[in-house]
Amino acid sequence: MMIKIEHEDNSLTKGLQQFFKRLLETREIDALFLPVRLKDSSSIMPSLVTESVQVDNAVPLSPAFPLNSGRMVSRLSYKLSGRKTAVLLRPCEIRAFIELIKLKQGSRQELILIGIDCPKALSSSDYTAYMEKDPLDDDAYIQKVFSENDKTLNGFNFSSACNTCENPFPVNTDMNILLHGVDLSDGMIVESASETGQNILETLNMQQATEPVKRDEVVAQIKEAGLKANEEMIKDIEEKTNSITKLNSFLDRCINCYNCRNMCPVCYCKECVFNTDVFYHQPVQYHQWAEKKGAVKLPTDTVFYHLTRLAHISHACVGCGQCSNACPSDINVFELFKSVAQNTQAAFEYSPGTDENEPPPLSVFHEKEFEDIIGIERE
Amino acid sequence: MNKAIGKTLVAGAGLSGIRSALDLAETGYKVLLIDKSDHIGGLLCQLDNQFPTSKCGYCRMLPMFDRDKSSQHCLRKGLFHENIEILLSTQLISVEGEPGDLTITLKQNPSLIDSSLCTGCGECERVCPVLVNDSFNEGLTKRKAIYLPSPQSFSNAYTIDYTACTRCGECEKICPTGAIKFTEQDREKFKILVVDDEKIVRDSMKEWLKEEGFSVTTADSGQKALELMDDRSFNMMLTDIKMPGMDGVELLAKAKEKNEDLCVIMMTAYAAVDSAVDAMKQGALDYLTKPFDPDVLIAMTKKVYHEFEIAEGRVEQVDALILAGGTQFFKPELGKNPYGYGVLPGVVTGMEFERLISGTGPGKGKLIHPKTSRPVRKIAWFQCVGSRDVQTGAGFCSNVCCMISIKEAILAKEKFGPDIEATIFYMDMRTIGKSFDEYKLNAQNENQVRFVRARIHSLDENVAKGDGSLVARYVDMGGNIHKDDFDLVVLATGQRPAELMTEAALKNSIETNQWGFIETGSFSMVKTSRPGILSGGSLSGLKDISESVTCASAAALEACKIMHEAGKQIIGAADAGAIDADDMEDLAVMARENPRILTVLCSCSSDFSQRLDLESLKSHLDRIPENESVEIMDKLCTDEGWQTLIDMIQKTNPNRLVLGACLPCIHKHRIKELGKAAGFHPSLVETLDIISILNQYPDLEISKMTQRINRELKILISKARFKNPVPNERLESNQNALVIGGGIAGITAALSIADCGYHVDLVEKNDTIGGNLVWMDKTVDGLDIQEYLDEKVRQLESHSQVTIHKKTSIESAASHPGEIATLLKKEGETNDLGETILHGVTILATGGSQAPLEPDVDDSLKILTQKEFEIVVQDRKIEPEKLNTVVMIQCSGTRDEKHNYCSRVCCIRALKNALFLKEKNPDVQVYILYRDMMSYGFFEEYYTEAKQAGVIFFQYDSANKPVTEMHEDKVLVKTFDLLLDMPVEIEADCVIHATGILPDLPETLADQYGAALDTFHFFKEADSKFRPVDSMNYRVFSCGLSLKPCTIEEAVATAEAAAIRAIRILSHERLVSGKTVADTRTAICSLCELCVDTCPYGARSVDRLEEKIVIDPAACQGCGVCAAVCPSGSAVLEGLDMRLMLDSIDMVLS
Repeated sequence: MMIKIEHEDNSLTKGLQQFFKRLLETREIDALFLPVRLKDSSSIMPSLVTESVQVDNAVPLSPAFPLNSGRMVSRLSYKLSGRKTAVLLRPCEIRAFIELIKLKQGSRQELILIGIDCPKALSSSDYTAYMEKDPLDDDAYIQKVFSENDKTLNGFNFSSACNTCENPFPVNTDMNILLHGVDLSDGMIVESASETGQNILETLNMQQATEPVKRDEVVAQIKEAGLKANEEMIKDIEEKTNSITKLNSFLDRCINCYNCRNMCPVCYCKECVFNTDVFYHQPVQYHQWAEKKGAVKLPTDTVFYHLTRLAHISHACVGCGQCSNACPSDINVFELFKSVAQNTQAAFEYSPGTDENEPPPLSVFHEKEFEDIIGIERE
Repeated sequence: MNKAIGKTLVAGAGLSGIRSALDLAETGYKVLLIDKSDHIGGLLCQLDNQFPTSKCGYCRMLPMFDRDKSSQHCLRKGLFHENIEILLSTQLISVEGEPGDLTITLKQNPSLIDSSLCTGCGECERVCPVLVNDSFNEGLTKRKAIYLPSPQSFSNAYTIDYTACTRCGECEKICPTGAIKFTEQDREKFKILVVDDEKIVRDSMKEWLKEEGFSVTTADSGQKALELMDDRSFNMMLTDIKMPGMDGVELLAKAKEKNEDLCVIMMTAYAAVDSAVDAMKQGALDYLTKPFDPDVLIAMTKKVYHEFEIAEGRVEQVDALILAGGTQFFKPELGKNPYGYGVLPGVVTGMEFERLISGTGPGKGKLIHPKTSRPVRKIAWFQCVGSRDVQTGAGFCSNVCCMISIKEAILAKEKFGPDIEATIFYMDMRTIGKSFDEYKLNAQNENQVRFVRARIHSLDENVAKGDGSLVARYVDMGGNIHKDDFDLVVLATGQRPAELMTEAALKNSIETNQWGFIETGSFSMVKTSRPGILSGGSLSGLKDISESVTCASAAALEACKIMHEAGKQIIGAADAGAIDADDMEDLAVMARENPRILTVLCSCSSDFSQRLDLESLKSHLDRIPENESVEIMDKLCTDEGWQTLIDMIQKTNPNRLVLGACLPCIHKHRIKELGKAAGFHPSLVETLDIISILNQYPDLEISKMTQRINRELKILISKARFKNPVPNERLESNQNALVIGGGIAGITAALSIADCGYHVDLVEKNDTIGGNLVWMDKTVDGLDIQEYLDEKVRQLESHSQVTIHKKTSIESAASHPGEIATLLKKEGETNDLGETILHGVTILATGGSQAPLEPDVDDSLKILTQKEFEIVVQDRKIEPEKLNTVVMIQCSGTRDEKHNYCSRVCCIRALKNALFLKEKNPDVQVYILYRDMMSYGFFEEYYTEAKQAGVIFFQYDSANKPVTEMHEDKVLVKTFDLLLDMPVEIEADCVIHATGILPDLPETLADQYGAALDTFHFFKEADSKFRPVDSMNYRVFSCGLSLKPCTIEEAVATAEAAAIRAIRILSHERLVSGKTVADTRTAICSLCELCVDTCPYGARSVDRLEEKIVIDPAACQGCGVCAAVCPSGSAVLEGLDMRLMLDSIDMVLS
């Protein structure tokens, strides 16, 4: 079913806040998880909200994307809490969370997943700069991003992950908030996407909405634009990294801070292998490396680190771009990952984050697979 | 109370013998495994590829748990197991005694080569002047009289063909390690007495014989000879007949009184041969006519000497004997040989073809014509050569040739390209296994193998072409005459009983059937007519790999029962798996210490120095900080060299050892010996087989070879450096069994396990025990099924070790390391939680049933299934005497898209019913409409009998199935007969459909125990050939109809096999893991469970209470998939950690 979220005091944001308040007040749920503008601050961070009055600070749509909340939702759900939570996530956050469910790092059992059309985001540093330089108010921002599909906001480029995103629309949720292709002057639409979602929407007792006629067309256009941008980016990045030498120089500023790993939503290990004694080399080892080539750069194992991460999780990369967002050395980690991930995912015909019943490629065995690679192909 | 350890002798070390031996050895009994040949592995050593994988899987028979007790390499290379003693070139002579107390005499060929000294350098082979046909390559190539027994053999040790060897002694002279100790000393022990009154004869004979190395004493008269015999003993006497005083014949009698075993050879003039012949009647072995050629004398003496050498029979006390001598192939040249085998060029047997295409065969992997060396393009297979052919003495089907030929045809295409044209000429394609029909269809459709149903009536050389090609003439089904050209014709030769085994059976009053195969008892495929003597594998009839393995296991089960009943012990039962405290302490100390590595390189009497720069190797390796010392030693393979090594270890006191030498020195048991001698734990030794690398790259120059060996050694040093030795884990293991299903398979499995002393819970969903046997009357052989079943049920119900749960189903099951918990649910009891059973193994014997008729027909007396027919006849609802016409339709609903497998039993059931009808009413007309008559093995006789009894067979095609119509009170059957090439209509009183067998194994049930189903919903074997009753989960087995379609006898055999496979585990209070097993670093584990899903052996599970991954160390095979799939490195393989890997890589690159 579809219901309508109307303007509240001429404001879409307030309308949205009202919707979430009603949701919390139904007592179908115990808490909300959504982006909230922190007190006396321009920072917007995902927050677990239990009091209705706190919803007034919620900013469901903004250019701030400080982290992929998928991993936060995993923290809320990897064990039972005895409480029901409605979580609002961007599409790439949902994808990440679905991957984490497969890895037993989270569960939908006590969650209502609410998706929303993605308005694109700025990198964290650009967001700070944007906020300092005459930002749009929340409503004007929504009107702008959902009517123009621009690559910039007030002169700031949206993050490269967002501009090359082929799928900024939520799937595999309980309900979705639709904005693209919807006449926003008339409000927004919430569409149920599961039985649970439908039941909850019914209890809200809100006005029914009709199918937005132009939506399919707009969605197709946006996907198309994302695909095109993605293709160009991949072509460019492959050119920049298609040899060991080029890859080395692409990554040569890496300082092994592991921020990209820490912010990667699908890099789920409790303790990364790069933190273990495997890479805590004997001093003599550095000397041996140096002796072999005359010099060795420290920290070592930087390219190895990225290759390992590619090997471990490129099949699960959801393309959120948080790795690049977190890099203090401004390495385009995301571009590299996306280009490799695209190949890995195509090879295994794997589509991360779309279906929690689709097993990760490494946990399935096919007798006949990649015969050209494993070398048992019959002549 | 110190009970004796149970011991079984297994005669025949091929596939079946190895299976029996390993099953018993794993259970904990001692095994003596003998084989008449010079290598183990049997026929399979000559076969590189088996269907359906086109690969080999012999190694899958190796032990899964406590696997460090055994070698873990290809069984074609050899076998080593702590509980198995292997004697090669050994034959069985006699068996006496009762089960539990058998005395067995063996005859062993002497070994002139000390295999522990032989390095396999091949010098002996180079100098050997004798060239004979290489039997390994079926005579397609030549070999020397001294040779390697098989190209794969692990030991590298040479062997001598005694019948071909001329004892020239060249090999002995050249052998660098002195491994060949031929003759003289041994021959000196052979004392010959020459008696002749003529001095010149005495002296010249003495000289000739001494030259050959024998001890010779002479006597000039009978009297003198007898005096000498009082003094010392002789092995052989050569005596003249005509002598003054006592003549030779009298001497013979008197000498025999003194020494009954004395071999006497008479010498006589040509004119007096009669007296020599008389002497032979009195006990002389042979005679020589004077004057004689020294060569004749020597040859005769050598023959006697050889008998003397091997006559020293070894006598063994064992509890049971398993005969596993296998079969041999029919020799087409011995019969009428209509296809000109051995005469026409390019006619080969199946085995010769296997050798022709083998990488170790004459073409080294290229298919070339054996006579003309031309490339081969068109190949034909002729089926049933020496099978299903009374003229060649084979009224039976050889069972396996159809599948072998299909496989060979596919192999030819796979190996040599799609241009190969493969045609199989056959009578019936007997695709009698569950996946065989599918395999055949694949051959036909994907590999374009041509199948022609025809018997070739003549094969000739194509003289006109003159290129050695052959022309085959045959008539096809439509009556058209064909002349096809072929480059190569492969005769699918049938099988015959193994000669030596039949001989041994006859001598020891073990019954054989009319063809000479061992006869087994009713409903048993392994019990012979003599208690305590069992038949494993194909000895009792022709079997493919999986059936041979099944029967071998079943024989092992019977042996196990005998040993248990005789009160014999299992090795180490008392201190089962107790950890050696010293061992632990030593290892713990070693693990804490910084590595001090001793690296020792053998120079192999400077042989290695010619290929390697040992000094530069040493200086390279000396630079590695942990390398305390690098030593070059000589001849480590000799006792002297070995002692130097021990001394060196004791002197330098290293805590790790890296050893570069050749195979004999670094073999696992040798390293264990070293550990004992030098007080050094074997797991702290890393070994490199240098000679194999040298042999692998024969042309590599010294500097490159040195680099290569350097690299290999550095990896080992790296391994030694990071070695964290841990003792093998011990897992407490539940010793009870759960059998699910109370049909004949379940009953047999339960009884077998209980008879060996373990408790069994048997769960049956119905309230009767017996399964399908309940409705069956007699077998095709006329055995009374009800009598058999009643006896089995009685045994089961009265057995103290069996608890029967009727009307009970499985609610749920959970596996923990060492134990499975099953929750039972009794029918009708709803409020109750149900009983929980804890057990160590599960046997799924859930059975199967006859498929329903589709579409089902109401008139149950006109159109019936085989089962319905048998029941109504038993109830006299149909009286055979009143029937005029009966039509049987085979493959009704099977071998089609829906159930694409042959149900195996329906053709035999049809023959049984047809013969039954004919017996009751000779006037009844019986028609059998069939696609391929699957009267495999000895069942072929009933096919012949049915034809003789007047049963009429119409063959139909799967595309044109028979249809039935009700026609008043008759059934009209319409079919299209392929031979007549026209439609046929039969009006029948009764139509009997063979609807095939459907398995009854729910997927959820299998899944709960970690087993899987195959595409036909039968139990999926861990390996359809080599582990035919196991699942991938080592504690779960299946038997009977849930495993595959089978006869009662076959179901019993699978049940017995499943039982021994289970007993292997049940017999251990604690199971010992292998050395390399997986572990989890729980502190860094994220519990993503990827490793659990990925483990192919079900070794990993989640302990929900403790929130951690637990591992069954006995299930873990150390494959490392878990470590590969785990991103955080919390799934690890003990002894192969990541630092070691990275360090090894650095070592190689630096």
